[in-house]
Amino acid sequence: MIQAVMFAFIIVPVAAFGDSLAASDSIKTSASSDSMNRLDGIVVHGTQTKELPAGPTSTERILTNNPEITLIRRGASAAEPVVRGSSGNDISVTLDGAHLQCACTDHMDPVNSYVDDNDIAGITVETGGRALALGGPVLGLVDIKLNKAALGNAGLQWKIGGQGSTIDKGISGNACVSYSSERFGLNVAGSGKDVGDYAVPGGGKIPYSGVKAKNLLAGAIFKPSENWEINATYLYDRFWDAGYPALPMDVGFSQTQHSAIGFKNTSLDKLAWSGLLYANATSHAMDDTHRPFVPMHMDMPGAGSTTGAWSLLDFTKNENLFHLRLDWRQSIQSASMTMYAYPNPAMYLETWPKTSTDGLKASLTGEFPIQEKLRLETGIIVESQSINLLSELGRRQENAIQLGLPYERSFTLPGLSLGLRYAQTCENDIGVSAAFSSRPPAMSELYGYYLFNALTNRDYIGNARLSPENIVQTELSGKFTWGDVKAKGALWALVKKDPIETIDAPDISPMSYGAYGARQWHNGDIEKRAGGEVEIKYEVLDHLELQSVNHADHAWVSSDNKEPVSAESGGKLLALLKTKHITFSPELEWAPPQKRYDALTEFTRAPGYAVTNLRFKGKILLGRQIFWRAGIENVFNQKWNSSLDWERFDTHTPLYRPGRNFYVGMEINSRVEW
Amino acid sequence: MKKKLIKRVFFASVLSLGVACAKSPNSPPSSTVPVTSGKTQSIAWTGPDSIARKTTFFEPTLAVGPQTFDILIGKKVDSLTYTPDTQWTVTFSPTMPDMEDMTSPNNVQPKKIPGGYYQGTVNFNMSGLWRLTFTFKHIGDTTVVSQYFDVVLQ
Repeated sequence: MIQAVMFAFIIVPVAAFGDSLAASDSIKTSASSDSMNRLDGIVVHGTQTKELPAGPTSTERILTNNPEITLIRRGASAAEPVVRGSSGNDISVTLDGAHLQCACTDHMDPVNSYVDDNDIAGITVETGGRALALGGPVLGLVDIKLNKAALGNAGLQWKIGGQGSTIDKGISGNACVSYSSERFGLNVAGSGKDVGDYAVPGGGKIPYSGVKAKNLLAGAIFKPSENWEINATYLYDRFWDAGYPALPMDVGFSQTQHSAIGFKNTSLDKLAWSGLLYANATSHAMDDTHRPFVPMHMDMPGAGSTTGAWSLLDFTKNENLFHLRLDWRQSIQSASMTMYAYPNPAMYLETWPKTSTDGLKASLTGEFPIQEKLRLETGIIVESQSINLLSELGRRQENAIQLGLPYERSFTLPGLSLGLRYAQTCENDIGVSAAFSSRPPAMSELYGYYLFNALTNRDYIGNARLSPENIVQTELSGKFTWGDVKAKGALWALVKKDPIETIDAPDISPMSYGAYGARQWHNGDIEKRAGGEVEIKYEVLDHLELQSVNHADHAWVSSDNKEPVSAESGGKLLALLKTKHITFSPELEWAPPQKRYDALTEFTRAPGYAVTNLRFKGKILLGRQIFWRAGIENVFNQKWNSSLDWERFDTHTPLYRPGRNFYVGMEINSRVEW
Repeated sequence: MKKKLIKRVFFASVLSLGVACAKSPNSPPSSTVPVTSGKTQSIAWTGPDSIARKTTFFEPTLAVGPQTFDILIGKKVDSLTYTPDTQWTVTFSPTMPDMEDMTSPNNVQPKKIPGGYYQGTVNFNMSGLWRLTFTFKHIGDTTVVSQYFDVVLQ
C-alpha cells in the first residue's frame, strides 16, 4: 500500500526520476563495468577477463541485484523470479530473447535454474512498453544474456576457478578456454557444483536443500565480412538430487539443451539488423524416494521443447529511431503423474496434457524528438497465440472436469505504449510512460490438471474458457546526478481488468493427500498493484562508495482471490572500500515486517530482518592474473527468511536461510597472444 | 450343474433385452438404451420383503472421461427366474479408495430406462481403481441398501 511505497522514499529520501518507459535501461547498465555493481564485479562479454564477483554468486544473487526482482524460494536452489510482484505466467524469462519451455509443473525448474552464474554476461529487466518492444509481457521481461565468444587480437585464453563454502559444505569449480581472432572466436566453458544441505542458526540442517549440477556453455563467432557477424551458442545444463524443503518431493534431475544461431548486420546506413534462430528441449523428473514419509510413491516426469526465432530491425529516419521486432515460437509441453498404490493398480493422469503453443508477436516502436530535450516514445504491438490440446487422454480427462471444453484456444491481442522523456543531460532525466497489453491465458491456466501447490496446499485445475487479462501499466521514472550522488528510481502502478486468478472449486474433489481443496482459474474483476524502486550511489571518497538498492511493492486484489501475492519490500545497503589490491564490501540486506501468505490463515505477519555480510576480493599478479575472494555471510548468525520464502513442507515451520557462512574462492586467468 | 447353466442362459437373455450401443468416451450419456456389451458384476441380497434379489452392474467403458453404465435390480420369481424390480431410487458416488476417496465431478445419477434398467454416467477423471458405491432406497418404506462395485482403468 501507500505505506509500503512511502517506505522506500523515507529510507532513501532522494527524489529520483528519469528514463521513460520503465525500469528499462537498468539492463543496459547491468552488464557494463561502471554499473551499480549489479553483477558484483566487472563482467565483460566473451573471452575477456571476468573479475571474480565479491561473493559466492549464484544466478539468483545476480538476479536480485536488480531492484525490480525478488525471488520465490522453495529451497536453496532454482528460485523463481518475481518482477515487481508479478511472477509465473505474468512474466517471461528468456535466454538472449529465446523462450525456453520449462518441464516442471511446480516451477522447480525456472529458466534461470538452467544457467550457471559463469554463463551470464548480463541481465535485462524490462517492464511496460520496453518489455513489449523486446517481445516480453508488459508485466516483466527478464532476459539473461549468455556469454558469447568474442573477436579480437589473435590469442588463446584459459581460466580455471573454484569456490568452497562452509555452511553447506559446497564446492564448485569452473574452467573456460577461448580462442579469438579478428574474424573467428571460440569459447567453451564448463562448471560443476556439489552443495550439501545447509545449516541454520541454532544448529541443525535443513534437510533436502542440497543440489548437484553441471553446466556447459560453448559458443562460436564468425565475421565473414565487415558488416556481418554470426554467432552460435550451445548450452547444456543438468542439475540433480536437488532438494526443495518447501515441497513434498525433490528433483531427481532437470536438464536442458539449448542451441541458437544469431546474426548482426550493419551493412546499410542507418539500419541495423539482428536476429536469432533457436531450439531447446528440457526434461525433468521429480523424486520422492529420499523423503521418509511418503503416503504414495509417485513418478512425475515432464518435458518441454521450443523452436523459435526473433528478428530486430533498428533504423533511423529524420532523426526518429524505429525498432521493428518479430518473435515467433512453438512450444510443446507435457507432464504426467503415476501414483503407485500397491497392491492396487497404479493411477495415472496427465498434469500437463501434451499441448502446443504457437506464438507470433510483432512490435514497432519509435523514439521521436519533440524538442531538444524532450522525446516521445511510442509503440504498437500485435500478438497472436494459439494453444492446442494434443493429447487424446488429456482431452478425455479435461472433458471429465470441463464438459464440452474447447481443445484449442486462439487469441489475437493488441498492445500500445506511450512515453515522454525529458533529458536535461545524459545523467539527469525524467519520464512518464503508460502501456496497455492483454495477456493470453497460459497452458497451465487452460488445461492444467491437478497441479498441486504446496504453499496454498491445494490442487489447481485449468479453465479452458478463460479470457485474456487486460493490463495497463503506468510509470514515473528517472535518474539524477548531484555531485557525487547518482540516483535512479521509478514509481509504478498497474491495473488488471479480468485478471487471471483462482477461486475455490468446491465441486472438484482434491486429489493430493492432505490438500485443503481444489481451485480453478477464472477471470476476476480488478487487480491493482503499485510500487517503486530507488537506487543510490554515493562516492564518499575516492576509494569509498555507498550503494543502496530498495524496492517496495504492494498489491490490491479482489476479495475472492485467495492466491498468494508475491509483492515484497526490502533492500540492500552496501559500501565499497577499494584499495589498490583489495576491495572490502560490508553489506546489509533488510526488509520491513510485511505480509506472508499462509495456507491456513491466508496471511500472517513476516518479521523484518537486517542481515550483515562482509565480503573481500582482490587480485594478485604473478605472471598470471589470480583473483581471489573471501567473506562471511550472515555475520551475526541470525535466523531470517524473506516473506516470499515458502515454509518447510515437513514441519510447516519457516524455511530459514543459511546461518553464518564462510566462503573462499579463487580464479586464475591467463592469455597468450600471437 | 444343469440348473446353474439354465440360470445363466436365462440371465443372459434378461441382460440382452437392450441393444448394445457403442459410445465415444466424450459422447453424452444415452437415456434410453441400456449398455449391456461390457462386463457385468453381480451381488445377491435379500430385500425388505425377504425375497432374494440380485444387483447386476453393467460396467461402462473403462476409459477416462464420462462413461455410461447400467444397473439392474432383479427380483427372484422362482429358482430360475428374476424379474426387474424398479421400486427403488438409485444414487451412486464414484471414489478412488487409494486417493482418500477422491471423487469426480459431473456424474449423472441413474434414472430408470425401459427394460427395468437404471442408467447413469460416471465421470472417470483419471486411471486407477474406482469404487462405485450405490445406494438403493426402496419406494414405499425406509429400506436403504448400499453396495459397491470396483472397476479398474488401466
